[in-house]
Amino acid sequence: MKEFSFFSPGTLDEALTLMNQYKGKASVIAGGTDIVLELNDRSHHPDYIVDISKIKELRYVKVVDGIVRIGALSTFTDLENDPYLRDHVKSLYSACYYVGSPQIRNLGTIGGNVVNASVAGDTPTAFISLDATVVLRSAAGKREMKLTDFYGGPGKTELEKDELLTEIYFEAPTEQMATAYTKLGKRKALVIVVIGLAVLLEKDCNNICSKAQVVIGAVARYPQRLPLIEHYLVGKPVTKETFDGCRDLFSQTVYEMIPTRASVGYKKESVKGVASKTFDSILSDFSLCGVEE
Amino acid sequence: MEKIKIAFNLNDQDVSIETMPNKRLLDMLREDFNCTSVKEGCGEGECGACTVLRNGEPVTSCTMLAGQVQGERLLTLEGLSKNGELDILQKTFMEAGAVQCGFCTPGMILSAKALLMKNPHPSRDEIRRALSGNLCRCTGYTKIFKAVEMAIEE
Amino acid sequence: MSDRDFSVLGQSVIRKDALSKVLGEAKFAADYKFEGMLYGGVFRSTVPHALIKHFDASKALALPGVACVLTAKDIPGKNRTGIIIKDEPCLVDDKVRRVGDAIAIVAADTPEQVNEALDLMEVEYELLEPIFTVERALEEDSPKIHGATNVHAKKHLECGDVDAAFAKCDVIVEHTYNTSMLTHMFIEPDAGIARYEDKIMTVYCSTQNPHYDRADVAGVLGLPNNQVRIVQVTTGGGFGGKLDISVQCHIALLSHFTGKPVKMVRSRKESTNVSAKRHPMTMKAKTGATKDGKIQAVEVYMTGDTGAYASYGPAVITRAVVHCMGPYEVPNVRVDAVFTYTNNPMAGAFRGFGVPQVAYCHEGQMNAIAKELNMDPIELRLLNAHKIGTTIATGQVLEESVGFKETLIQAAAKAKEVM
Repeated sequence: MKEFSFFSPGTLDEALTLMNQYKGKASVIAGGTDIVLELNDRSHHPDYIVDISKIKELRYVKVVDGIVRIGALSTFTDLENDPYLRDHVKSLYSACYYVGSPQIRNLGTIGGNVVNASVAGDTPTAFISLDATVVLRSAAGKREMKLTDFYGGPGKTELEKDELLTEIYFEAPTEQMATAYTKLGKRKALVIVVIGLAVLLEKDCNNICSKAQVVIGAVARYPQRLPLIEHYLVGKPVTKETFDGCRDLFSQTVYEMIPTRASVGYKKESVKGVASKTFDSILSDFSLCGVEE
Repeated sequence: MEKIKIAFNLNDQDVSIETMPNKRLLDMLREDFNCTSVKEGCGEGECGACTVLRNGEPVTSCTMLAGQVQGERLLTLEGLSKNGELDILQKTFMEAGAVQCGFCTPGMILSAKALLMKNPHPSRDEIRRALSGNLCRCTGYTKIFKAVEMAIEE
Repeated sequence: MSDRDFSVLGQSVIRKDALSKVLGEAKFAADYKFEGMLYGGVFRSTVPHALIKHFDASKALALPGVACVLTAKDIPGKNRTGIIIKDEPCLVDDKVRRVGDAIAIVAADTPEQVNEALDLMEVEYELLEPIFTVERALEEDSPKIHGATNVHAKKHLECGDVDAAFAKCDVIVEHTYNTSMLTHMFIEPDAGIARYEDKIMTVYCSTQNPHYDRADVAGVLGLPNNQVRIVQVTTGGGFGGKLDISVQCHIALLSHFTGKPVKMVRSRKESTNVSAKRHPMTMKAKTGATKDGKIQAVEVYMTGDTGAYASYGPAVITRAVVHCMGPYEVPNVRVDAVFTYTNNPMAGAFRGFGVPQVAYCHEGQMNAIAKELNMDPIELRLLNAHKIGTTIATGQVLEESVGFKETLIQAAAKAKEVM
């Protein structure tokens, strides 16, 4: 590990001051589960490290006026243990539940997972299906943008060098909505995602799908909304038949996203099972919360 | 590069050190505090051999910088037995034959300890999930799960 | 036996080393420290097959804390190591044969200085055609990796009259099986520490093969065996992957040269890149049976890729040939095997020594025959299974302890419970 100077600010203001002062020369460490590897193998060697893990004010999950707000330094474990998310935002809960190992979930932060923009990130897929917004702060001020606008490719985001992602928020799903996330990997635990599929579905009183937000992760360079599938679902009855009817469309969509990739043969078939599992969970949630089918 | 001062609690003792910041928690524990039970198996948070408990929660010390433990409470396997008395998990790991080469053992015991501190009566599935971040290569998972179950019974 | 009072036999006993391991006190190679110790590192090739035109370590040597950089010409003894065939240079002299070949070694005061020094070393290659397949290795015009041929081992096994037997078979199945390269992934990466005192070189290391290590270290240092001591310290798994030399010769050289203890601990990446692998094999098999299900003849042609160095290849080929009929009586057998060098990672010993590879082949063939004859695959196996008195293709008579049938019957019963 090459040399660097280390700062561990206790407040957001201090951190933003440091980010402004060492703009472009400082790297941020939160959970550290990605950056420490890069520091250790010397592929990344900033002059300054700003450790934001001690900023307690950025670690929270709260629901205020119908908006779910998550502090960037909340860990996967924090979210997995949050009763509101477990009961009402199953997609995000599942995305956290299946990340890495207990050790990684205790360290890794939501902000880190979003900012890293890894092709294999779990929570960004769930967040995009929830149409989430990120809050970016710098010494100069604050700006917000939809997560869909935040990504530019693997490791690329709109985050400026003096900015910190401080919060991610989205509208709390209503009683007429259900969400789900399915992770396909090579093992049951400690596994990198091969396909991640997150869905938010809303139905009206006649059991007709009135809104669908479907996002696939680990296929393209960053999680993608699937407008063709969403369009197919809206206006149709929320039934197993409807969902079964779009399995081939999923397959075709994945094929068109990565026609030349070696994994396309596997992914275009397996996505059908991933879709079925996700929609089974949605259907089961709707029946559990007592909305008439 | 300036040295940094880190004060924390290690195995029930308050300690402090002045050190260069460009080292991992794993390196600091092994080199500066001689806690060589903390093993480096993969160096990228996959194998769990470097697991330590931070405020009672298992974390991989190879994915943390030394400076990040300022003010925290750490437990390594060296600190588990008290006054010469083995922890129950140390006993059951021996009795169940859950130790072979022994390289994964420190992390494995600490992950199990963290589980039992939070959940004194875990199911087999809960044990499996709690130990999913600790790899054993000598094929001992069955005996390791058995060892944890024996510790519950005692 | 059950009425005898044994203290160990038939009892669950606690391992002697379990206490030190649950206390975290057991010392593995990386846990050792000696006063005044240096750290070592290896500069490795990034190309699979090349001549070294130029190597420059002057910038590395100028770094503070760097004690020495050694290359092949600094080796006082023989620059060849290896388990069966001494074909692996301790440090590259004539040419690079794989990605990860050791070109130079460095000792410095801290691991960070070692890494800095490795970053500053410069090498210029003249690239040679790399060989990545057995097929290319066997072609006449292919470049030769060692000596005049790329074949490092060949075996032939024959009994009975194979051609006549096939002529009488009711069914014949022919299939080709490929197995992949595997790595042991022992959880403790290779590590060791060498100390040269009173003209005795002592190497404490993670190893499965201390006596072989001693011969290689002594050979490289040009010392008699009685001046080299290898101490196998608590070792974190091996599965065959720690039979080959790893850090031993390199740390011994650095310690010999500097007069100080030298420690080397491989990263997971380095360990995975250069430790031995399971031989990838291709098996072309022809199996014939009469319609009663009796196997009459087996013919196999197999190739194996041992990579850049032979390691345990010559032993693996023998085991693969002898076992490729599986635990089945086959009166007529013809097996030919060829293992070649390539510029792939070195393959060596790995739990089973070639037997797991051929199991894919003989079990695949048994299933194929069962399908062809419309027989139950378990029945087919029981019909042909080894038993006491069986003569196998090598002429050996199995005189005792042949438990295959009972095992298969019990396994099949167990399988029915869950299927």
